[in-house]
Amino acid sequence: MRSFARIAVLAGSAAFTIAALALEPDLPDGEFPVSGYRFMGPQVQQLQDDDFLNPGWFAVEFGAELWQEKAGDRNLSCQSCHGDASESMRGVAARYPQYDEHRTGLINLEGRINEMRSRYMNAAEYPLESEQLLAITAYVTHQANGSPMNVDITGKAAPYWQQGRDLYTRRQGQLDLACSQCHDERAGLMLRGDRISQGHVNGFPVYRLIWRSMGSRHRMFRWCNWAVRAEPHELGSDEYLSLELYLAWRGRGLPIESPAVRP
Amino acid sequence: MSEIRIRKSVPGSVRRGEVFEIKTLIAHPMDNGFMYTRGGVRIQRQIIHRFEAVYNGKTIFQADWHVAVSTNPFISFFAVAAESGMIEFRWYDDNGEVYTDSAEILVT
Amino acid sequence: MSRRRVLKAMAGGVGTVATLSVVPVRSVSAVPGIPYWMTDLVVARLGSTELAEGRVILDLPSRADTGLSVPLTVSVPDSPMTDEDHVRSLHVMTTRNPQPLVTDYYFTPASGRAQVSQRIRIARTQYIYCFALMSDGSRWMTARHVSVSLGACADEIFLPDARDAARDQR
Repeated sequence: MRSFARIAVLAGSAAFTIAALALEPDLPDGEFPVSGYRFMGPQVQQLQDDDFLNPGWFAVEFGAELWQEKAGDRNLSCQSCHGDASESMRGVAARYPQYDEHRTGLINLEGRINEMRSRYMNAAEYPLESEQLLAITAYVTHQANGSPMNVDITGKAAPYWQQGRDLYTRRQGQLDLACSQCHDERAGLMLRGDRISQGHVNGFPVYRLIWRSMGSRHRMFRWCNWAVRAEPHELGSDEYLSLELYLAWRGRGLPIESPAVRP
Repeated sequence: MSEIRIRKSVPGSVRRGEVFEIKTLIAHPMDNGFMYTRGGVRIQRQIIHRFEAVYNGKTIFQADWHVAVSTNPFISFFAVAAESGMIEFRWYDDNGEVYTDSAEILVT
Repeated sequence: MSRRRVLKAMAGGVGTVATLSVVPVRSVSAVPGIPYWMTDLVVARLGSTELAEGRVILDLPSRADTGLSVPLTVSVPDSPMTDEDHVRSLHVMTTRNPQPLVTDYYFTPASGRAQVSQRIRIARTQYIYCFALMSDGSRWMTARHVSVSLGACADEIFLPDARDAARDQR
């Protein structure tokens, strides 16, 4: 009886494998970089493509309101200095993160927005991962929609790029996995119900279905670290800024896709 | 977000007697009561449990939603163009709040 | 079926199909019966569990990309939706979600067409049912099977509660 059960299981799993193969979508073979969008199933792709359904638009619309909202001692809004975002912010998000002389370190888009608020507007910085910061970042990123990611890794940014690459290729956590083992070596394969993407950051901040909210690149890094049972770094930490720079460079040429939806 | 965000799609003008599609989307977490925070605290159920469409004062369509309805509930349904006027949408939250929105319709 | 017979069948190669077909197999309807625990829910909405198969179309993917947002369309395309003859209500239920109820739709002749689309959460591979009550009092039903594979890394996903796990053990 036990053998029968085993045979039945084997036959069943063989049938399942065949069914899974038959349903496999048209996936890129050896193509790089490929957006995470193409690793998603059609039902999730539809959520991103349909402007009515895409929940990321709620964040972009909120961001558009924040762009015009005056704040701080000087009663300034983003618009007071930058005017129409569709002109002034076009393609900007594709160049972040970058080395900042004033900070003498890397700065990403969220960091730049907060720096502007504290330095020029004399307004309180938005907390990291707050709804406001995600919304304004999504709004600014949306203005770069379609622009190929193109970050500068020369000069003072070079050591950060090196640090980011080390983080990306270093095994970590109880599962002893490096980012590259899944996202370089096994992209396109299944991890239970998930299809492993190439791990690009061109859609962030994304609306993630399992989060039921928007999330930044750094939130995703923390989530990935948890997934391999590694100790995550802090949001906005040097480690994650370096990793963000490395990933933006690794996906160079890939168009910004915003607002994006990911499973 | 302090205020509830709503998106709707209703044709501006329709011919009398024509059947037309209405779509709405409302930003709501639809907490199903089965999830826990990372700290192990159960997140209380809070969903929108009823949706209504009222056309010139008459309820033409109603839906009772349960915990299996996805976050940011989307719905598409139909109506017959009768008279020009207003279509009102109502969402009933578990917490007692009712969110409303409306769209004008011109029947030719 | 004995182990020997299965092995023989496996070894039989081309003969496998013929050998296995001798084994009596209960014919499986495309629409499974209503589970006993769903009876009360159906009676509360339709008044009875005496239902005919058909008329209701339940449009769902047979394989969901993610259980968190599955496109669902229910309709009764052959209903004229007039005062005399219309769909009064449609009810969607699941067999293996933590709670069986999904949505109840109530129509009027002013609805014009008995068709609704939504996005729903499906916790695992299971059957989804749709029941219809017509203005003439007739009751109809259909069911569809949906496969859902959970992701490997999802720690913040829609999880069944403890009671559901207990039900699985039985």
